Amino acid sequence: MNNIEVVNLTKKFGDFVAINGINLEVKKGEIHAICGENGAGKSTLMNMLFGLIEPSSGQIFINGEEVHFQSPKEAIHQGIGMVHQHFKLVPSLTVYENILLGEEIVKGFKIQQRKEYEEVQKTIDHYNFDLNGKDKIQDISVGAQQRVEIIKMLHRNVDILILDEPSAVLTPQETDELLDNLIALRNSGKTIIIITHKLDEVKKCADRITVIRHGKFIGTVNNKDVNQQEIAKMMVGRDVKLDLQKEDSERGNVVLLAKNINAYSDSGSQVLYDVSMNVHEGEIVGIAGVEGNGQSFLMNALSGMLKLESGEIIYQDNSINDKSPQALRDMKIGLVPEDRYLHGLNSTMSIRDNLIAGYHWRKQFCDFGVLQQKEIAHHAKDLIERFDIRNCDNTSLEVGSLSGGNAQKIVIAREMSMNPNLLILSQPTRGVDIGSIEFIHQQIIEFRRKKKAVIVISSELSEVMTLSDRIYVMYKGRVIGERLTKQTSKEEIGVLMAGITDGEAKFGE
Amino acid sequence: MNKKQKKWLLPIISSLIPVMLAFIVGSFLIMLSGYKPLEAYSALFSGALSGKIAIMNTLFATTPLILTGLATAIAFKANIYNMGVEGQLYLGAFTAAFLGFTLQGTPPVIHVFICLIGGALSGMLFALIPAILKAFFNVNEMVVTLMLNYAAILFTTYLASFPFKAPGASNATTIDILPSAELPRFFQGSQLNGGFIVAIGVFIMVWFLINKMKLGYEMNSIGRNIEFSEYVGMNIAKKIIVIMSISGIVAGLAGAGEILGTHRRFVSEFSPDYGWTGLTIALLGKHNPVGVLAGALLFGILKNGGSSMELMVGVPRSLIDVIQGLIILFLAVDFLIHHFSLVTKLKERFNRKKVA
Repeated sequence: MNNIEVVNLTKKFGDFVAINGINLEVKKGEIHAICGENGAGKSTLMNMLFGLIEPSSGQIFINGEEVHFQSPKEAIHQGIGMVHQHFKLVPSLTVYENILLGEEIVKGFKIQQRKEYEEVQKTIDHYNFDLNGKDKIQDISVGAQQRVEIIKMLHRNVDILILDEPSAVLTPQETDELLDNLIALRNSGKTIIIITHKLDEVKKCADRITVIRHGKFIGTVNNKDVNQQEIAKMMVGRDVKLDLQKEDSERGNVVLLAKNINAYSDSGSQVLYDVSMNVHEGEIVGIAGVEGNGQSFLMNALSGMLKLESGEIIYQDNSINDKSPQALRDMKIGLVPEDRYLHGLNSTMSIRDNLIAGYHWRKQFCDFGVLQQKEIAHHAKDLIERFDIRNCDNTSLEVGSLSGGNAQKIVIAREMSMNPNLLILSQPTRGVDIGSIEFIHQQIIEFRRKKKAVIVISSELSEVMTLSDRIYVMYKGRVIGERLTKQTSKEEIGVLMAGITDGEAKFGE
Repeated sequence: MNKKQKKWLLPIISSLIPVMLAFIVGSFLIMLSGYKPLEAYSALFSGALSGKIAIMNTLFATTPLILTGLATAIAFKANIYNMGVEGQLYLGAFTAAFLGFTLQGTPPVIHVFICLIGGALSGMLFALIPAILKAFFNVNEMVVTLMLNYAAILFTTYLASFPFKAPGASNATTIDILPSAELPRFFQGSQLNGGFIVAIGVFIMVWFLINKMKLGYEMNSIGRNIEFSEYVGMNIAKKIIVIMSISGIVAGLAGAGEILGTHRRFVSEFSPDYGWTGLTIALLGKHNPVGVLAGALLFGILKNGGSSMELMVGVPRSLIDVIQGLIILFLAVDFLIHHFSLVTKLKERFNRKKVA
């Protein structure tokens, strides 16, 4: 029997059709993966199932009955639970308190704490999850926090569990553990829907796979009938090269050297501890780590946006501590920030103006304070062609009207066009479609071929593994390990990402 | 092509709507007080626009509004809220008057320039106080500029009441400026004077600055996304100071022009809220110099035509104030719609109901 059936579901936001007549059938007791590129409409679809947004048209059936959810509460009541990408937990409360938040067991005015704990622990033990109900959220790992979210739903007796990009915040080991848990839940009779764009995870756990592209239903297939290549093809609509070929490169002099840098965030807590790293000419250095382990702060420190407490950053034999972003750009350092729409682009400014931002005062574009519009337009045309940026025929349109992939290409085109010696990229392909990822990766490798230095900070381990020659792993604001990509494995990096080292021996300088 | 047309058409429409609505509501008020709206409005516009003298008087009324509108728009463009145009105008005015009556023996044209420059500089210096506080100490410029208005108005009133009071004057005014410092009037029968040329000159410069120059690009960028601007290397603190200075210069010029061209001496509290009307005009003109020019012209028409409406139809001139107030009100509604996308939300709600 179908646990969930979705018929001709459509969601419009203004003129934009996010979901266009999708049909979906999820069988009872299966793991069903929803695959699609970023922006394909996966999350929108699931948010409709969970009652977070209402469909514009179409029907949803749960166990054969049509439903119109007005809120998540109603969805939970009908047995549907959702675990979001970003957890909604209170750090200072215990696991059981979080699980029962809003549904406390009360007697008179008093919360029955002992009873609460016992009930929650019973659920945890029943599903055999590795959790202690009395631990505080702030003391447990991200993987465990995710288990809390799952238990929170299970404790409310849901039969259908929706997980939105569950592995985005996990180390590879934690991901494996999660997938094992999901399979166990499936075997105990639960129905699981997992939204993801990571194909290896899909292959590992799913029974069936539904692919959507640009809000349209592409197809539902049995996992055992397809390989990764074929799923990718369904997602993108054409053949995709999944692994990238890059030749060996000879590394030259040190371009950037960070020595024991320490830094504090605005709120006064230390965010970087004794971070040391270097990058050479003709080398791509990757910074791996689970999100939120100080990579963003390292990026800010390297790009002159975060003041160092101590330590030194040396670029081509000059200290660049406390240099402004403009000074860094003058010294030929290209910066591709993590948050594209906050720091990388000015989304309501035109494509053309965005392509010169940060370089707009250069003689080429600006003579005696007057902008050279002709040159700027020419520059834009040139870059759009060279970087294959689509939908930009009119360069006076706002950048915000472009898709994530094309918008990111604008940032990368701008930074690369000024011919820097060092390029620092943070999350270069987040929210970017597979086609553009391919292109961006090729550009980065092309850049290395010209004997330039590159630092890639990414929480996508596979991205770091494919691009980098050498990898630093960050954990809680420290560099916890350094490996040559050729001499390491995804597993080994994964162990480091979880903060586990045994007598780390450093090599090379 | 089509998209490009839309791009400049939309802001014009969204500026016209509040004006139209204000006139419509105004016509109900006219009817309520027993007059005919069409008659009243035609008297208003013909009083402002029919005949050379009428047009010149309209332009005369427009002159200070162009400058205060531009002063506000420059700062708003970069998302800096200079609410102190009124105060900067007063200081500019007093400085111009002071230089106007003290520098005896200066050749005519040069004297005018000295007074204008002095007015502009004092507007700038006064605007620097909030600018420095914002740039280096992150003090909210809106509060500082608002409060400093009182300081400027009361300070100039004090100057005109005591140290520089004209002997024998019954109210707080200084002595007349020297004839060499006067901005000449163009024709008999109209007060239109050289100040208008100054305003148009400033308009052209501001237009060029915003549309063609690096600083304009940076103002635009800072106004739309300050974090981005900082990340791509703009020195925000420095830009805040530069932008506020320019805004202050234009505000100071507005005051100086009024003194040298119209009053020819400093009269305490001479401004009928030029600064605040400028703020409305800047919002109405969407911080765009051309829009500001059009807005200033509209308010000039209202001001100049108001008296002939009163004279010919009997509708009290205060209706003009009502219409101006309504324009502000409807602008605020427009602002809400834009910033909270009310229309789309309502539409969605409506559609949802239909589906369910």
